[in-house]
Amino acid sequence: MPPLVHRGLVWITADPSALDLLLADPQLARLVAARPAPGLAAVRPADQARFTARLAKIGQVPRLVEGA
Amino acid sequence: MNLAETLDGYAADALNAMLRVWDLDTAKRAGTKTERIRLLTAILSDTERLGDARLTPGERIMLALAGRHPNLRTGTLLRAFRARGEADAESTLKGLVGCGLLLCLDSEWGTKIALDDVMRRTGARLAVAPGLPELLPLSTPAPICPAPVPDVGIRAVRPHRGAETGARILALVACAARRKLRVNVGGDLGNPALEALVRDLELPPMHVVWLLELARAGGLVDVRDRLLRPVELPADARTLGGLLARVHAGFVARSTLKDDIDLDAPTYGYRVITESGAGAARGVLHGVLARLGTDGWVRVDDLVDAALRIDRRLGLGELERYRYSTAGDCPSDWLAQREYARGALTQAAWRLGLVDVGSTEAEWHTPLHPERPYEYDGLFREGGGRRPGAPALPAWTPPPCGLCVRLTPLGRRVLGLTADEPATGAIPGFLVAMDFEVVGPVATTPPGLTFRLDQAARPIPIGPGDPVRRWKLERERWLAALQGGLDGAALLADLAEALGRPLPGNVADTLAGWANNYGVTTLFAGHDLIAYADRAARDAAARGPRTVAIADRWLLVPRGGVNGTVLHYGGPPIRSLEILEDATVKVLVTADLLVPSELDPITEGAGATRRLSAAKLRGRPAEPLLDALRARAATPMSPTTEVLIRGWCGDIPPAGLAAVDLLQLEDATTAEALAARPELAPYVQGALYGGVLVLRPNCRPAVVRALGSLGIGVANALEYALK
Repeated sequence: MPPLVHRGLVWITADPSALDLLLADPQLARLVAARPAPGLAAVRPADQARFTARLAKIGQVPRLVEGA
Repeated sequence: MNLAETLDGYAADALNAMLRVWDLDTAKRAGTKTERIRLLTAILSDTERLGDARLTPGERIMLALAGRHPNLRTGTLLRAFRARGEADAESTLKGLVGCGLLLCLDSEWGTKIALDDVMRRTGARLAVAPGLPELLPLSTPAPICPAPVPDVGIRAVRPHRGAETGARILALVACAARRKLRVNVGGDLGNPALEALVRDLELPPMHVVWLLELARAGGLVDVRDRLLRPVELPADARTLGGLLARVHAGFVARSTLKDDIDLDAPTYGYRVITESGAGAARGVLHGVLARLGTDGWVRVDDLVDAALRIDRRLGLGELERYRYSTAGDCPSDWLAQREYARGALTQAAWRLGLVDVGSTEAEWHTPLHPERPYEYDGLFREGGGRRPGAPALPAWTPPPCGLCVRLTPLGRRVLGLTADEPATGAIPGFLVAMDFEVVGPVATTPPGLTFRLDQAARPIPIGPGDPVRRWKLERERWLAALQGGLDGAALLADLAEALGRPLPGNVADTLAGWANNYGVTTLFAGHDLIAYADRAARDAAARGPRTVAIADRWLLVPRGGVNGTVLHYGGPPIRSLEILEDATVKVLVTADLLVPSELDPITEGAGATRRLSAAKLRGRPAEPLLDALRARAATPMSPTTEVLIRGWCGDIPPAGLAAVDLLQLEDATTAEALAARPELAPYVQGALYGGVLVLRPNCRPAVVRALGSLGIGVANALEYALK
């Protein structure tokens, strides 16, 4: 059975507790479109810049990994 | 893999060819492929017999090289051989082909060996007996020791530009990450993108194109979806030496990559030397530098002579003999070869940090434009060869060149002669101040440290004669460098070592604080999230180097890396919901990751069947919510459902409610006429359908009287209306 491929979102990974702590910020939580698993969240590509800008405001600099 | 197994991978023709060379009679008798392999295994495992081949040192090196190159071809082998600084490449190859140790798989192989055919075609496929390279370890090439030039003889010095080239390449890579640099169909940078790079890097277009070619050769950028995109900086490229070593390897290997000689001034040599010839010549010239047995100054001409001894046709490609009349036999060609070689050593190698360039003359003089010796051209005819009856070639002496070069420590690292930059210990005059300023003496600060400071801190402009360089450590630049792959902890350690004591407390704490907040979260753009049935299935699939396993059954891979059923959230909305009239919401596609975040705020319950919640809907704008639900609904919502949602959202204004007296008349015409009568008009509020008049409050007795005056009796109107 072929696996299910979820495409078209920007995925955010972090340690589960660290991600919970981050998404306690209401502005970040509002931008999150999905949280499929502990330590994994997703935002729409249109919200990526706002998400990273908000992260920067609270002193976090994410590592960005570009795919295809 | 043993010899027999390796031979099994060869085509039958290649096995036949090997057998015929070694033992023609046996070859005729050998029938099946297995028998041929058995015979060859016996022959090639017989070291005594191989020893009888009486191989020269050059032949041993060529065979060893041949065994280390996959998909071996004539041109590849000759280039690798010359790049090691070995002379007589062609005759060595001929000798090996002649004795059957190297086999040409393309030529007619039989009783007659088509040697000329092999030598003429640089792309002829070659095979080497598989057991041989293991018997022939690759020895270190002998050093080249030209006459040294004493330091006092050098009147002017141009230090290498390796740090600058490395910083510019990284700036270009950063620009590719920041901007959308579009590449045209031919693979070249489009004009708008080139203009953007020229503006950002503040360099002429030719320099930018050359740097871009270097970055592509070093695998630091590539083209995806017609856009120039950076590649994640490999671990070995995070020091200046490592970065330039990658770039240099690509520069030497890619024959189509142009030199930078024309960047400063057009030269005659560059026009004559072909692209394929230049690529091979770079290998030879840098091979000569790698074999240099001294760290002192040597004359460029001595190095060029050494390179020409290795390859007499240095820089003249295969097509040269057909394209140019003199076919490399004329002093004009020799001059072009020398001019090109001098340029490659004093400009390309200088820019890549391999050498410092010095001049024995008081004024800097670059003899890249010697006058062409036209007087010799008349001795040769069009199409190649000496003109019949031409007099003997008079002696030609190349015009002298006063330039010298000196191999740098960085150059040794780039050429692979040493490991990465060694630690330098405390540097006198090096300073890291409490106000986050760093000061490093130009002469003694290691290039690797300068390079990383250029990345991680903002350079403060200095004057041309300033003996120190200055940087300011700033949060934005520091974090950008970390994102670019800089090892922050290693840089802090190196700064402390250069300082000779621990960094000021506030600087160390602040920088560490900045670094601690880096990389807590990772954003994966252009990736697919793959959902597997269970952990075992996920673990079996998670093999690629760029895959990331998450939780129990999820896997992140670069977009398109795994085939399967695709749920694309970037396109039109997925119609995953069905909304019923009783406010029940059924989730038809339970795998839709967006459903929870969209339904949780407006429904009660969880899972595949939920119910719209009046409490949660209260106060929400109805129209955007209805639009979103309509887009996600698999079947259209009924108007009753919509009015329910609008009502729960508070989008429907309050209804009016009142107790009124109605006057029911025979028909609408009668009612209209009576309402206009002065006796009744003051008491009439309005008219409804079917002859019903609405009366003003508290006027029932007056209406009865008025109707009586008109001769109309009053019955029970309510009963009449309900009939």
